[in-house]
Amino acid sequence: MLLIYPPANNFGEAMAIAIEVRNLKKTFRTHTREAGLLEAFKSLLFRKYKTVTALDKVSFKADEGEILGLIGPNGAGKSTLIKAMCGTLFPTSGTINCLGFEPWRQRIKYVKNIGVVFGPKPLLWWDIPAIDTFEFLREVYEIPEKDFKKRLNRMIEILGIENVTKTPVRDLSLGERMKCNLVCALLHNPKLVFLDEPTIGVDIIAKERIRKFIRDLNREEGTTFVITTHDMSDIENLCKRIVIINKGAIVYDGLLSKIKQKYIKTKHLNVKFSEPHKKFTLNGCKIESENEYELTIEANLKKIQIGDVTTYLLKNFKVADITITDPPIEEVIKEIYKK
Amino acid sequence: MLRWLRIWKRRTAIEIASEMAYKGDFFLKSIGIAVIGVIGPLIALLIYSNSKGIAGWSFEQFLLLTGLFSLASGLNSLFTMAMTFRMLEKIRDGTYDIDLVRPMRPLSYALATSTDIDASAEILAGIAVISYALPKLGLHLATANVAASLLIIFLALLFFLSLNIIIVAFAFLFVNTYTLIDLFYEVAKIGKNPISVYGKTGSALLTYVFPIGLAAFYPAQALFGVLSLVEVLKLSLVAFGFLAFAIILWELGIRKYQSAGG
Amino acid sequence: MSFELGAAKLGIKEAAVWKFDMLVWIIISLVSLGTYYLLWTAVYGFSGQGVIAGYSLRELITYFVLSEIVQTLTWTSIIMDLSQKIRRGTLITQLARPINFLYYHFWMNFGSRGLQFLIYCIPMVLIGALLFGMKFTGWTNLALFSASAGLAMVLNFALSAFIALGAFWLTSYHGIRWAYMGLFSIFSGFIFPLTFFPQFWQKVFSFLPFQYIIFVPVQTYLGKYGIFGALGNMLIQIVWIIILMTAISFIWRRAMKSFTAPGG
Repeated sequence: MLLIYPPANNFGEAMAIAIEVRNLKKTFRTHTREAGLLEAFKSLLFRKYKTVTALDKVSFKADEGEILGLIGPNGAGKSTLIKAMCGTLFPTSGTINCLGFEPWRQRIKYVKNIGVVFGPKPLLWWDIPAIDTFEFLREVYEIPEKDFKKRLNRMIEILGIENVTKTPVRDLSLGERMKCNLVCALLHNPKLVFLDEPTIGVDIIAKERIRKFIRDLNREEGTTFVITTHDMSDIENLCKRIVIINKGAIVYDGLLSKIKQKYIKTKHLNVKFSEPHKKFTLNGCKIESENEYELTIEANLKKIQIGDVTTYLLKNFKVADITITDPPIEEVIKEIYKK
Repeated sequence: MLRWLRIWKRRTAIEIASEMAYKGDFFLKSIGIAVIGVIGPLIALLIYSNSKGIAGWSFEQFLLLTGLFSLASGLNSLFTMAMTFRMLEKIRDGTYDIDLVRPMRPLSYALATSTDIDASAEILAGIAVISYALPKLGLHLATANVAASLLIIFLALLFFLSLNIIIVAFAFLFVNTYTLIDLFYEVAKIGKNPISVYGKTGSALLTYVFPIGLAAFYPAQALFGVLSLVEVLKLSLVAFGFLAFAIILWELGIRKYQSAGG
Repeated sequence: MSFELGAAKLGIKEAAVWKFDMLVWIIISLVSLGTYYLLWTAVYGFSGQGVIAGYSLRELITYFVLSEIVQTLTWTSIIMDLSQKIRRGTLITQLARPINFLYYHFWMNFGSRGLQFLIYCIPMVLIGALLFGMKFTGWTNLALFSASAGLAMVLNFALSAFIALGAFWLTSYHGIRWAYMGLFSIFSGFIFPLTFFPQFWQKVFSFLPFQYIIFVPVQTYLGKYGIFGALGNMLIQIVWIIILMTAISFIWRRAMKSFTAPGG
């Protein structure tokens, strides 16, 4: 089933569609067993099954060249959706169309055009330098020697891993490993890339490098990215549009800016002091928790600006460190449900 | 085909490099495997020093069988067994999906990435035993006989491959357990004895239905010069037939894995 | 509920999860015994003698069936468990509990062995008797055998734990484990009754603890020692247990000192 691309005109308006998912449904059968010695013996003889709906008529689109954020709590169906789009999972019903292919039906042809990073799961062999894994993948994807070298060097340059690729992977830090994982996923110049938690556990400097890498590739080559993450700052840095999925269904599909306006009403500040702090009161702020040297504040953005809170803190207290975080995505989703 | 070979070569180079990263371990593992390789000849020795042995088989002939079996078993461990261990592990960990994102047929990819060089010790042990026993038999080793013997060892490898594929298919379809690998080893051991021991029905079964006789008995027969061309053809048919059966089960298994999400 | 019973229960639960595995184990034993049966029937047939290395065919088959049973009863995963825990660094968290690690594992093992006795050994005895002509050698021998096998279980645990301690000092344990398992299967009499070996080797084996784990209990069942001989062997089993336990606590304490240093 070929998707007919609307012609791109000089105004660059009609973009080609990279992903089109329609009414995607996925159900699983799992067996259940309760705790206890008696139950353990019972399960020796027979098993109970139940049907779980992981994806319930999910529909959305993604244009070529988009960086799409896919957010949701654990168990919401993100991994299932990604696997279906990668072609490693058959849907129960509905259609998926990626780059003009039906992923699971034309898997071998299709996957030549996609790159995947499955979270922290290693794409590299452990005891040898990353470069050996890259060379291996070059054979698998049949990448011509010259293209391979050019592309690899470019990616190494942007990510800053010149010295890393010759070291055994087991000796690398998590950040360096994630960067190498990214290289694995992008070596063969895929048009569509799925990144599942690409910055988890990674330090802030590496995170920024990785984000720059994604932005550069997206800009230079028009690669489409679908990123799932729990890290809101990744989303803010990379995605214009996000899709929020919860309990197997899409609860929001739209611009990030809109959701921020509508739903993020508070921010959390974790403040560390260099000496025991005095009492803290500020209009619009609520104290979440405190001890002698630390304070966690919830700031109501309707009543006060973050900048004002930090100014007040820095002026009146001996502050050692401030960390500002958005409320966790679960709270945002709860907010969406409230509406 | 060429592409598969290139990928296999790369993967094997990686495997060797990985092992060499832990030279001490590799050495110890080889010793461990060598110790296990001693057991076959030891059994032969104990049987023949306490009794007349098996009808129609001298001590050296029986020893030859144990050597051939080590060779076949070692080749299996080298080329095909690792695939099974790794796949069962990947299915358990949930990391098999990574392999499904590669642009290759799953079985091709699994086999291309299956080398395990620990097994070299077993192969060497087998060759050592064969080198000891063969000269003592005073056989006239015509080229045709040796060639037939090697062909049958290749068929044995295909058979072991089929069994490994079936284990993985089973893991996809029913239960993922390493115990099936233990069953594989135990069942393979049937091939250590001359199949005449198993009676007429047994011999037929172990030649035409479940051809474990390919591992040691038939290569020995080829070396003894008592294997006809017709028999070689029949054995080839059985081996390939079994392989086809295994591949069908595998395809069913992969399909189920992709439906159930693993 | 007492601590030991709780650990035993946990051992049973873990073993119960592997219901399919247990069926496969029985099939594995069937294949193994069947192969031995056919092989030795052929050997005895060809040799024309009724007795080889002091065994009639029936006795030899009984030996193999029982050695499978005793092997299952005395089996322990402590070598795997300990070396894994050391490698993954999770041993430290276990030691935080005020309970002796090995003692805990022993009772877990006891629980799972108890389950194995019900689910594996009893069918094995039936299969051995009905299919392979295993013989019954009288109630005295059975009683002595049970005591000997019980001690063998404790002895194998102690011996395995002793071997497992090497994991504290060696980085990868696979090679050692394989070598040990290979040697164990020979020296314990699992592969072959030790009377098949030349006299010299039989003497060597008698100075090692291995034969007291499988060979001696099975021979006791076959009545090869007489009552006093059997009791004497049990004494030796106890002596070995004491020796190994002393060695273990000594080495364990040294290992704890070197390895639970900060950052270890």
